[in-house]
Amino acid sequence: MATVIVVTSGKGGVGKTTTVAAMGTGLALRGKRVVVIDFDVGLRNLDLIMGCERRVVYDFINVIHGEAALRQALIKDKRVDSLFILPTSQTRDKDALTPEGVQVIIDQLREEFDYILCDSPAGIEHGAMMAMHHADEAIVVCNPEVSSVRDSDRIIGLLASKTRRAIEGHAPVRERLLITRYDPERVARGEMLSVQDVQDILAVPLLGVIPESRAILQASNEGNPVILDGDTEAGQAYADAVARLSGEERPLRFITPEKRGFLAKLFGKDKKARGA
Amino acid sequence: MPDSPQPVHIKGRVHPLAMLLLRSTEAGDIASHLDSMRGEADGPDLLARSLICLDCSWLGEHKDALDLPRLVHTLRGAGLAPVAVKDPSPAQEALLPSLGCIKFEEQARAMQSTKAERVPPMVVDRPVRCGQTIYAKGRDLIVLAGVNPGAEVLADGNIHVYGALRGRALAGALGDVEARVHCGQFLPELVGVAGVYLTSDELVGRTSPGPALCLLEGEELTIHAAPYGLAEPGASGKL
Repeated sequence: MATVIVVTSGKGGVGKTTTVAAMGTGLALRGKRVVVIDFDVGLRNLDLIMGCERRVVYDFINVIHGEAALRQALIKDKRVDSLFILPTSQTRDKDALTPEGVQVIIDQLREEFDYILCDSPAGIEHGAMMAMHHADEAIVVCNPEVSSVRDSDRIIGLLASKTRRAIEGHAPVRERLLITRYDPERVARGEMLSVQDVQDILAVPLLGVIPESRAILQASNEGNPVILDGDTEAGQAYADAVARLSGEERPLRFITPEKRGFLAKLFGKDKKARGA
Repeated sequence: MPDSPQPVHIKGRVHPLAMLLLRSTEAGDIASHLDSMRGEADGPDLLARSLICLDCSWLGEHKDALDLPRLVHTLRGAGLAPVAVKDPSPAQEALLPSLGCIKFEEQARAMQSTKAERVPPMVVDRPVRCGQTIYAKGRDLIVLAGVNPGAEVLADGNIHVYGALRGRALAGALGDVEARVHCGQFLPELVGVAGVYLTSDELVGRTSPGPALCLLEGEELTIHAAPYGLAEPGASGKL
């Protein structure tokens, strides 16, 4: 029986889709059967980040409307066995998602997979509610800045009151926090909230901290989940987060400013500038 | 607050009422006995500072022999304040309005005990998050975690936030001016008691990284950081 995980944030642009791609790939690399679903109807992105946009024929909405079988819409990843993508429609809008339709698909997928990762749209409207409705667990993606923290706080409140588990009185959705785009040097200069600041407010267990990295944009452009590049800090940080999700203990990395040598300071070189 | 929304405000207050159990129907005897007790610890000097209820229950069927108007006027002449009569005869009861007294009802005692009954506070054991509102109707509110930015907590009584108060808190929502807001960290967006409030704009430099409380002193909402020491001016960490 699969675990349904919603990746959500409230605010847009914080790294939900990047996280779904990385965590989904990471779980599949560990031999889990994983499907990632794009709930952002009308703004299809997950297929791009996963690099399968040219193989989309049928989508999530087609399946909900009975225009295609689930099997026809699932796209198998070319890099990692046991990883599948369920893309969404670009031409419909979020109202095309019906609770019953989503329920049928999730129930079918639960039979075949270990993990179902739902990529939530931004906001707290219908699409976001549909994405979180069936969740057993939630990864709340948050940037270390005030508005993102506030939106994440709002989402965590909704997870505790508007999901199927909350409504039917089952055990609450297990929430975990993933802080993304973390820049330790800006934190040290007081320009960015620290991990502690964010946790003080959100009071949710920490799944990981992903450092700000140029590698992420590059990975997105190439349609290659960043976790596949083990040389990058972001890729390693996502691998740590996947390990923690699987129950392993990993110390936090990349949360303190790097000590730079005299020459590096002199020439203004840093690791990020080299694309690491 | 220069413009009060209501010209008058009703507050329930329990005030001690001295019961004077009458064992004579002679108003003159009663007055002269009280006079002879002057100087004693539980004598009329003490009574002069209390509201007095004349209790006729001991007199039984002889009540009507008592000249109630004369007794009331005599006591008032001696500086005492009879305001109520317990167990008057029907004839005496008819006279009460003209004497400026009320009939003492056992009901009043029952009300007093209802007030003494403790209404358990509402206890919230998780953070109050952005977009959530919690209202403790007719009671105190205790939040064992924090109140986050964008969240709102209200109570007709006091509000206690064990974590950080970062959102809005309004105590005494129905106008209890005695209500207070206590919190582990005082960083609110808005805080208020009985309709008097301060926004974070007005709280610049008056927030506290440690425990603080907020209460009404007269018409001013004041904030005090721990250690409080409210009794000694200057010792308190008034913000």
